[in-house]
Amino acid sequence: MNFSLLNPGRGLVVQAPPCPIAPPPPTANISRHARRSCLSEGGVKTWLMRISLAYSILLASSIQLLAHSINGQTIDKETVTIELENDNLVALVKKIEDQSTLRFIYLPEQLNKYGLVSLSKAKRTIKETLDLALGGTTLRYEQNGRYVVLSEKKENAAASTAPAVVSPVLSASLVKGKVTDKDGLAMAGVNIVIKGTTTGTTTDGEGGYAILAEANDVLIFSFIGYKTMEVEVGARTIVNMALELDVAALKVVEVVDAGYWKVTEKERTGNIVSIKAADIEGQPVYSPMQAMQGRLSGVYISQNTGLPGSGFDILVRGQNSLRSNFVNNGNLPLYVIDGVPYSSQTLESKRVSSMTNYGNPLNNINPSDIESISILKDADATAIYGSRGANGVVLINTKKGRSGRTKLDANYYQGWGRVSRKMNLLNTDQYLEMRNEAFNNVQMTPADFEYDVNGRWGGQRDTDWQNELIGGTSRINNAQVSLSGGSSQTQFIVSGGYYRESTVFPGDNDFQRGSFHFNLSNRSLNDRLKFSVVSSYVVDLSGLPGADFTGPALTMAPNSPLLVDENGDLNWENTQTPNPLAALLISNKSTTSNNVNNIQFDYQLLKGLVLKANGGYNIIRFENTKAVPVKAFSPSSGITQGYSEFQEATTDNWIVEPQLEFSKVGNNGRLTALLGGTWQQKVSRQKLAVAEGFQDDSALENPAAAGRYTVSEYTYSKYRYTAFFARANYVYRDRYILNATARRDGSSRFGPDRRFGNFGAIGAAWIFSDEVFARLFQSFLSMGKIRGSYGITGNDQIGDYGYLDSYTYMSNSYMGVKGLTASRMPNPDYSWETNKKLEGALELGFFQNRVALSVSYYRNQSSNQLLGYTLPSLTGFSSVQNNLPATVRNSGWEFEVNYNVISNDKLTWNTSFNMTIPRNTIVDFPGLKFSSYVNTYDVGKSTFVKKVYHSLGVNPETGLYNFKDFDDDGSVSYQNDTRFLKEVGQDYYGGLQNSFIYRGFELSFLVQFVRQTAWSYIRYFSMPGLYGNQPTNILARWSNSGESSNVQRYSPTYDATYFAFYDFSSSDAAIVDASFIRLKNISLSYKISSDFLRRIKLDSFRAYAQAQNLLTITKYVGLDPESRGFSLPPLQVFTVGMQIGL
Amino acid sequence: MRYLVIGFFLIALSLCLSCESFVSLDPPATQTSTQIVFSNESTATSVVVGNYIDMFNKGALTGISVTNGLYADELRLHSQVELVEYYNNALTSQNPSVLGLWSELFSYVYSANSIIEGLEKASGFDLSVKRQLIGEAHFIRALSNFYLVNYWGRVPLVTTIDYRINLNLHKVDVSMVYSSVVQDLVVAEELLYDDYSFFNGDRGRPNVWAAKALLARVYLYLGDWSNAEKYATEIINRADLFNLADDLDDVFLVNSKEAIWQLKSVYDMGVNTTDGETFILSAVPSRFSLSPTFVDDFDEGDQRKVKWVGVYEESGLRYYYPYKYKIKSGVPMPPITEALVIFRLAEQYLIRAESRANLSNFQGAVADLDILRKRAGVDLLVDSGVLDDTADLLKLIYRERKFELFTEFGHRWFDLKRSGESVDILSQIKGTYQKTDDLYPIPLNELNADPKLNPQNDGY
Repeated sequence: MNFSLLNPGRGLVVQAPPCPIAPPPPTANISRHARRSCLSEGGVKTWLMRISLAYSILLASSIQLLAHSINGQTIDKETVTIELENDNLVALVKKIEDQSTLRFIYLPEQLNKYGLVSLSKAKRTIKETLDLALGGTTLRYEQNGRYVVLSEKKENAAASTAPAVVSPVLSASLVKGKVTDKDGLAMAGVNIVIKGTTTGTTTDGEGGYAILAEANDVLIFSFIGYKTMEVEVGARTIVNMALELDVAALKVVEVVDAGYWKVTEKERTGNIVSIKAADIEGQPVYSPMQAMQGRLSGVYISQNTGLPGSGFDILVRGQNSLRSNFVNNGNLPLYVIDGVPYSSQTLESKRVSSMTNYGNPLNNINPSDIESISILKDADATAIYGSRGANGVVLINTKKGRSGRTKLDANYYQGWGRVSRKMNLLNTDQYLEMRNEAFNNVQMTPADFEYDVNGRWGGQRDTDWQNELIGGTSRINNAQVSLSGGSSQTQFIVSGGYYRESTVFPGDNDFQRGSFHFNLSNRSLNDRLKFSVVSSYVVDLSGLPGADFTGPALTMAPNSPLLVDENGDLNWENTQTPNPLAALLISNKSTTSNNVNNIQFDYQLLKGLVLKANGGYNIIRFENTKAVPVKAFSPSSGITQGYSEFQEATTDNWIVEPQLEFSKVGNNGRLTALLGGTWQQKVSRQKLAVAEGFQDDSALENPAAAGRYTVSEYTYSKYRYTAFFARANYVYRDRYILNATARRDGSSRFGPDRRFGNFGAIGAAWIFSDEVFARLFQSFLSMGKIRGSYGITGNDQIGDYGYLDSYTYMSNSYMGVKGLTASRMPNPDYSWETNKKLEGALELGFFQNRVALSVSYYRNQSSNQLLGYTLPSLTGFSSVQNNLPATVRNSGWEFEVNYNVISNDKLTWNTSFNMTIPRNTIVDFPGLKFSSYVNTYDVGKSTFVKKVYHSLGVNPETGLYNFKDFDDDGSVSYQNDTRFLKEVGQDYYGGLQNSFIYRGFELSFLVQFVRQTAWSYIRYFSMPGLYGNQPTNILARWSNSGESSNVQRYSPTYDATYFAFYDFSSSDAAIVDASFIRLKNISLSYKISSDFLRRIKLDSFRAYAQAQNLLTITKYVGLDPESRGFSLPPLQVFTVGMQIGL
Repeated sequence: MRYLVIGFFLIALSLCLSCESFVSLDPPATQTSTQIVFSNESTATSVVVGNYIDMFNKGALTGISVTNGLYADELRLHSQVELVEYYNNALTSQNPSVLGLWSELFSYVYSANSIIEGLEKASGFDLSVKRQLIGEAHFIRALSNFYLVNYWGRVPLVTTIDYRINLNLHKVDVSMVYSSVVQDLVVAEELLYDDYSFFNGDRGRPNVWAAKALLARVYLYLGDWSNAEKYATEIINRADLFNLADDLDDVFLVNSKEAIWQLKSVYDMGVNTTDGETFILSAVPSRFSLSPTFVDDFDEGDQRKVKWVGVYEESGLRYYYPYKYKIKSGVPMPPITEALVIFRLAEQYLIRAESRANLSNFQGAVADLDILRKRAGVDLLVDSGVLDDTADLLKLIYRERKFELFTEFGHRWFDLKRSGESVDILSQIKGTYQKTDDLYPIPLNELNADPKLNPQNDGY
């Protein structure tokens, strides 16, 4: 193989090689054929392959894609120091290029015609040097910008054209031009090659190029992701070109971000899925989490509520850790934003925000600032993250500036959100019938306080509280402005955004976000030094009520009195349940500010050796003030003073990662190696304070006005992490790829002797479609790759200091003495959870990659489970940190299909499909029987399986739910008669996306599908017959002896009926199908053609309409199969907006 | 230059391999190592008082005035779902407040064990303080085990902080729990201060008299009448320390002479006692109130009904509430003048009366009862003829306990169980009380976490 096509560090001139390995035999007969044959024996076909190879090399070192700037030097000013002893002219030119920023354009054959020259060592201008060296030749030189063209003097060219050696070379002339994209923006780094030769060049920062070509030469323009264009030079000396995006090809050559390195989609050995800015822009979402839903295989994201700023659950390839509750969740992926690790947990404290769910850390990222989100899934991709990579890595890269003219982009949309489904609840007649029948069933009369049924509220009112409490329309406004541009050396982007979303609840509470993003990149003139700075600052202001009104909306009796009286005051007549609207009187304001900064330096020490340094700093601050005035309490509570709570939490995070990158291109392969180190520190602080004893409620937010101010909690924790890591990647003959990564890690979360661990992985890929035998299938098979990986990653997602035997001060004193309490049950002996990941995959591309298919199988075994091992409270604590010998296996299949159905000048139709079938098993759990997990997990079953009663339905005689008496002892008890019967989790899930582009119109939609089981409404509602509304499903209750029914009889009290109900809600009958198919997103936009825009002096204009959660098909009884229960479902959102570029 | 940079870089990398120290952290400022805590008088004291702070704040133990009141016949429930199970005597093993009480009591046992283990190793501070602290730990452990055995019967006896040992514990017989309670109290008696001077007269920390008061109660529960009488007498005889308050309104004041040990508020203002906070009505009750039948049962002219029962009237309806504690909190934030009395002299008179009645010292028993009846302004028994039957006298004693100790730390239900009348009396009122309701269910969470706690108590 001949790699000299690539001219590292000097990417501009891809000149025809002077056959450096085997110079052609000197011949007087210089012909085109001879020129080519010096390359290799293989002819045009092999040659083309090399061209593509050259491209991929260029991609691998994508840094070289961008061209040099224009330099002000001229040949008569710029000096070089050259010494030449019997060397040829090509060597001379190279030497000049070495010392100068000027580039030479020439045909090597012309230079090689002449003999060897010698020059004494001296400092001369380039002009002087050339004059001396070319003195004995008939060559002339001419500077054209930064190019120096060497060619035969016209008269000599003619003279030397002996009839026998007619060479087309001689008619070569300088062709210049500019390459742009469809929108007229300059494209840098476009490859231009003369068809049938290796002569070529690339465009500079302004899209300009220059090449020596003959009239009958055909120029081939190519660029990653764009359709390759061919054009004959003809008589022209200026050839401009506009390249068009090539959707089908895009996928294969796409550069994938793997965190510490980048890799092309084709040469990828690991499993990495990603979404791009374009995918995010089509969705009216406030969180990147929402944007990812349904689009990525192996990644399951569910939204907990429809409140802005709310929580999400994310599982990348299943539940690896048995720690799965909110406060101690070992299944969170590692988030890395622009190279800075980002907290996986929110700072919000349940004590203050008192929401039923928590937020998500990614809510503090503006989706509009994101360029791409990549999720690393297998060992090959994640092992380089060592002890943190077990649950996958989510890499978020924010937008970077691009060279070109300065562009102003503004985007605004307005939207409306609502709850799209309502539950069918009992009306007043049905409700009172239920309550009365319940009392009749037990021959009781309603008590004094049972206003709903004892006549106090009567039966006149009939309110569907869903309309009153969650029936509103939320308003969404989103505005984004960005300014970007730069030269080939320096690029920048500055953007700002504002987002506001109100709620569907009564009241005018809202969630707002302001964001600022900045990026500056620079490369030095000689291309050696590069640096970039990214900084983003996002402030979320949440004024949402501290309660979700969905629960009251579903459970308040339909005959309840109105919540607000005619004076607009809260109506406390309704003392049976608290007035939910009291939450609106409580001011609950929180501010979360998130500042991510990253600076990156690359310095090329030697050819193929780059020193990199990456430093990042992230600070997240959360402040919450909750002021509870007296009027928020029922008068009967006796509370006569308001109070307020204050929370402040900060997390500071810094990271420094020096790295050394080495690359070498050999005859048959390419080696890339990386060595690096990580030092990371995270400090979290949290302070909670309560203020009481205010003179009046107007000063509640001022702690200084309080009679008593108590710091009820102050926590501080520090986490430190360090590592040494290495990666080696070898690509042999462009089709055999080996990738090895290793990391030695230390984490402060473990006891003194357990802090360090080793992790590593090996990945391999074989691109068999490039093999000779694959030519048989080349008519349809354009890409075929088999890849696999195996490795070990770790998990240190536990609290800090778990090994420390210590006491913590309490917030109160007793008789003047401050209290101390044991911090935890200490254990110095635990260490990493290890996760062994195995993966195999097949990737195929058909018909010029119009159809791309990928199938992956994975198997992750997570062992040495780090558990907050549940202790019985007789030990004094509810848990102790420990490693359990349990092993959890997550395996599964992932499918991705991309089909570029139609791609012509008018219409593009692309469809893509992804699906994941996850399986989860507890493979081993020694001592389970005697552990505190005996009722939670079972060996051989999934971690999602629930130990439940087996329901036998309603006994026709008693009207009560019956359960299987497994031990046949005549009574049903939790201890003896529950079994691991049913799972609550996903069977499979995926998404189908279609996008159509027709002229200026673009339509895309995403259908998300999830096959899953979940707890039914029974789990959330109280027993039918008690106070509280119910779904109409319960009307089918048992009422007479001998009747068969699915719903047991009503009861107003906690009797045997209640126990039966209680057990029923923990039975297999309460786990139901919650599968759904959702039209998750639909987006329609229209882009006005540039001709028209030019007239109105606009660069671009796009108008669009989008809808989110438009339609959901499910059998699940409830507001939503995803959020379930009493939380606000994900809203149905409609937006209209426009985007203007100036 | 280049080589310099590379060299520097490689050195930096190799440093990383030995950067053990980078990831070893000092304890944060918010945490003090156990070793330091127990080698210092003030921090060790802080660990001990941490228990009282927890008692005040966690509220499961102090809340037994409410839960036992509902479970027995003192309180009427208005609405509160969580408490319905108490009121209906239909506790489930999933009841969160049953779990709360269980784990709170065991957390004191853990703390007591950690203090005993920590201080026995520690050296270097005042011996009398150290003795007092270890004594308090034994007292706390005894108190916790006393309530554990009364709620759950057979429970494990936890004597170390090592969870690996504790995970292997089995439940032991009731008598073994009691004998451990007695042992702890005997040790506490040895170690604790014998008056209040060490705390400047403050009755908020247990001293030897608290240990004796609990011992008297324990012996009473065990039917060891002579020991019960002996300990009650020892306390009653210390008139220099303890007197019955003349005015019923003064019994529950801070440092009342009647109090043997009281739990002080951890605040300077506001909530004085949880009882005052939860019982006193300022509106139509939405949770619970004092049962009208209970109120009606008082003797004519009983000053305890006048002074210790509050009335709230609205739209012609009367609601009663326990008014032993007068301060609810609210505006203006009151200074702390009341404290939750856990042991008081009146109970010792009742203990002695019951012991004497069982020992056939009828005169002595009547005399003890009359001391309380006199203060309450009701007829003296000594005037109503000769009482020489143990059973008759016990009935009177239990009745006296009912009105003297109502809604105070759960006495009523324990007395009903002790007298064997719980089913008779409570099933008349609620119809749902069964013999198995004399014990609480072991929380399901605990059974799950520790299968050795099986079997569950009968009836659950």
